[in-house]
Amino acid sequence: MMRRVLATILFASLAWTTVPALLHLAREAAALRRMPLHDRRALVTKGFSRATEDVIASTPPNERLALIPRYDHPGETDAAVFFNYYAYPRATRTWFGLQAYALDVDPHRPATVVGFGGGPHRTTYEALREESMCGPNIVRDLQSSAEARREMIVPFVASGDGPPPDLYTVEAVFAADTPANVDVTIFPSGITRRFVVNGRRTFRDLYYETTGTLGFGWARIRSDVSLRTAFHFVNRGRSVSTPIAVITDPPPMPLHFPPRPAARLWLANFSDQEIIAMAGGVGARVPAHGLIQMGPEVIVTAPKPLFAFLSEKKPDGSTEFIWP
Amino acid sequence: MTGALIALLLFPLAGCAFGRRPFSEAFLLGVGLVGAALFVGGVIGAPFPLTLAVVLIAGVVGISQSLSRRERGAEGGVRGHAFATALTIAPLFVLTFIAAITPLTDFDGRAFWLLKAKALAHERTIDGPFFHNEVVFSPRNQYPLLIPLDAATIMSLARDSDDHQVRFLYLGIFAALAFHLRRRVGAWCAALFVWLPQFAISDAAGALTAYNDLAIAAFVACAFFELMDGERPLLFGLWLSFLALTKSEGLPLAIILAVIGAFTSRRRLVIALAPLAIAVVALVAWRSGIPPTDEEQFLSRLPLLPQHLDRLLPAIGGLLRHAIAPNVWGFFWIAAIVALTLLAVRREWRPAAVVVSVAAMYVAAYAVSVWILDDLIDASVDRLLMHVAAPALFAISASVRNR
Repeated sequence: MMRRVLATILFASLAWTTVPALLHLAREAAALRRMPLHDRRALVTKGFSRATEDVIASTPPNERLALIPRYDHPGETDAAVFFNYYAYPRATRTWFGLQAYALDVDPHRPATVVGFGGGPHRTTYEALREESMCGPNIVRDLQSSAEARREMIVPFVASGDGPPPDLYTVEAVFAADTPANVDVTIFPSGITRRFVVNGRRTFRDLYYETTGTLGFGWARIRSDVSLRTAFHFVNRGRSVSTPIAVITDPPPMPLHFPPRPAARLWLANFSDQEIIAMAGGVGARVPAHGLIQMGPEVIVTAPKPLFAFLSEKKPDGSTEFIWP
Repeated sequence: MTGALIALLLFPLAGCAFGRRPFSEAFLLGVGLVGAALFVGGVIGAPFPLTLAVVLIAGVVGISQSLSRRERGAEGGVRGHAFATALTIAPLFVLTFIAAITPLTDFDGRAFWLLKAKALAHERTIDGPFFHNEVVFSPRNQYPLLIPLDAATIMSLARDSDDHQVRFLYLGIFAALAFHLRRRVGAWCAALFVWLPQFAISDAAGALTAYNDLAIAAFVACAFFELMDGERPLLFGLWLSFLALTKSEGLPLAIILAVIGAFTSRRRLVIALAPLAIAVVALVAWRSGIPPTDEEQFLSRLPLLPQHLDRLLPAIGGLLRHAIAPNVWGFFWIAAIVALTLLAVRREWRPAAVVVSVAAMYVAAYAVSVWILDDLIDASVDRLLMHVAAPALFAISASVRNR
């Protein structure tokens, strides 16, 4: 009798948990039973398997995919593993973290990127980089200039990666008293994007938000109303920033710079014609709308208006600009 | 359903390679033999179809020889207990219904084991491009492959590598273990076993998942019963070799069982060690040819144990905390601890020796791990307790029977 009582108690302790769970699972299965397998799988994986199939279907069968789970985003590493599970035998290569991908110099590195924020999706490295820039701007309390202009030139804008943890963007602010249509044109590519400014608009990565790519150049900004602005060259990886000068016209030639052996000389051609400049006695061909860099020369001359400036990377990861 | 049919025909047939035997035992032996033969054959370069054909022919020969000797192979041994039988079968029916419809969603099954199975079915070799990370990143690349090879065989024969083909491999192992326990321990113990939440419904290693802990629990159970009988050393050795080829912790489990077996019969242990030695050599040879990825190297960290003695007590505490958690184990482990103690007092020390030694091994692994202790225990200890559920059930049964 005692044995039976003990056995019943033991059985009840197990059934107490198992019976409701089994019934729940059985009810779930009954609800799914009329659906095709793919739909059932999509439902129980919360759309993950379908999103994986969509990525696979949207890419050529023999194209290797770059999976970039960001290890600082919870769940993305696991998502990359499950992507492989549902996509197998599709060939993929996994980079754990954006910088691992950025720094990989393998010429066969796949160009088609799969990101995992919000589920697997086709993306680009640039878009994933933009998506990863969470949190506030590095320049806290971005203040626009007191002076308002309708047209201006920003001699240096960039979006790019350096050795870890360096990650460069240009943070900017546009402010206007009335709604403004602002055209930002990035050179030398000439890509233009219009931004509507209602009072004040800030940018975390002006170059990428305008062009959708990474790179460097200079920017021409035109607005239909007077605009107050500010631009900062930011190293997000080190949380440091440097203001960028805003100009309207290139200063007269020649340009003189202090000797800075560790600096780079940049030559920007705002015109639509090629310019042959002399920098420290060395000839330099600057294409129309081009921006080129040279060694740290101190005197720059050119037959036509040309803009030049020096930049020097500091030990704290910031960049110092020396304007003419 | 194709995969279910293949599993129900293939493994019991292969399991008769050493003679006809009860269906449940034949199923489990077949699971072990097919996977182990494909693995060892794969190490020496034998094609999968050839190895599979040899195993199946051996199964047919085993059955025909048994029939000619008029041996009995039915489940037999347990008659009556209609209520216990109904209690055993009921959850198995419900689980079959669920497994047939609800797709797989567990973590390890998809991340490690069935990804390997898909690769094995696709590449038909155990050291192909997948295992050199040339196709995708292969997590836990050096994990043993016995169960993935079984799953790959089903996928290959079904000509479909979708995971719904292999759901009944895992459910089949659970059911076969239940009926093996019914035959070896008793009808009521089998009825208790199938209702254990960790086995029946857990999404980490339960019967509806593709974890390999269920297979480890089954192989430990079979090896344990052979150890208690002490009559079939070759079979004992085969179960030990299956353990070594199923999961990384399988090899230390096999060594623990072999050492305890040595106290029973030293002379017969030599026979038992032969299959285990073949499995270990094959495993070492295979691992030496493929790169490790993200496995934690417990063995190389074991010498650091003296520096981590402060983690031992929290590890034991974590293990006990989970063992008595009613939502995972009910009162099972409380009953088991009492039963194991009673048996040890009555000088039947082997079940307690198995459970305590295995628990001690896991506690030592927890102590030297680089993981945060509580996280590791929460993520794994219930699965590890599954491994010694059969000796615990044996103890519960024996303690109330041997008055």
